[in-house]
Amino acid sequence: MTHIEDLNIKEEIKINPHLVFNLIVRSYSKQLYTSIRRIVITHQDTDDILQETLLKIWKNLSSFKGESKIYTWAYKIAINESLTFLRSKKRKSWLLFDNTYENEARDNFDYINGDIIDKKLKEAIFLLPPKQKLVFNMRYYDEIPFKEIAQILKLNEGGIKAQYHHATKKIENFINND
Amino acid sequence: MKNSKFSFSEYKKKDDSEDLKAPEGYYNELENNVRNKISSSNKQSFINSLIPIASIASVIIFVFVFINKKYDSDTNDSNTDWLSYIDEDIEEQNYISITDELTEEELNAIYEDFISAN
Repeated sequence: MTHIEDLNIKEEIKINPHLVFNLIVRSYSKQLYTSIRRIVITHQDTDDILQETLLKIWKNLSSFKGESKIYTWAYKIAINESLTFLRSKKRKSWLLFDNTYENEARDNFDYINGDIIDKKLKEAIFLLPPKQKLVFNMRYYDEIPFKEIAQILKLNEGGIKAQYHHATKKIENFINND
Repeated sequence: MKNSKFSFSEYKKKDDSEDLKAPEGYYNELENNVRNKISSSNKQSFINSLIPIASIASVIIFVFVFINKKYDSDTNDSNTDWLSYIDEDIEEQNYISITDELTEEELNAIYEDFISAN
């Protein structure tokens, strides 16, 4: 079986884009699913975003320049899709006074294994503003270097570090004051 | 940790990937859904690419039909109908020219003849 890491992706895309795309779907769907779900919490929303991400990957495959690893490129698309989703949900709930998304997400915290601190940690992360939430998840769970996060979110590295610092403080306060 | 304050420096990070696992059989379903979305998006882009061609074609057909009809109506007019227009014009012109030529006295005479006759 062909492994995506063994391929010269840029060249292979020109020869057989279908093969490259199938390998991306099979090799990275699980990792992308986990990263997206950490941000949007519910399975249904994660599924929608992941499908949209894969569709965008397919449509833009020919524009992959090979400047980064193919996973980083796919991850970047997934993160941007998640950010768009969070912003639209926030706008919608603000305009319609609709808390359905927040309530559905909170119900999902009950399924999290572990002690009360783990559940509170998830809730605190969920309550962060969209960009802070992304920065925190990318750094804390996905362990992406600040420099790379800055490139993905098109912000400067110093700003990203500050966002991460604020996020950790907010989470600590939320857990300690609850 | 319950009574002490929570701090990231003391907290041992937990691997949460088990909590975030997708339902059984999800990834096969995902592959099928993505394949279907791609094929319907390809169809949609094909339809979208046809829209400008169809618009141009419909304009050409419309112009062709319009010119053809105009040509037909022009040729029909030149055969017969224009004669009746000319006849009407001549009658109208004659009427105007006859009445314009009468003097006031002649008109009075015609009027008196008309009165006496009735």
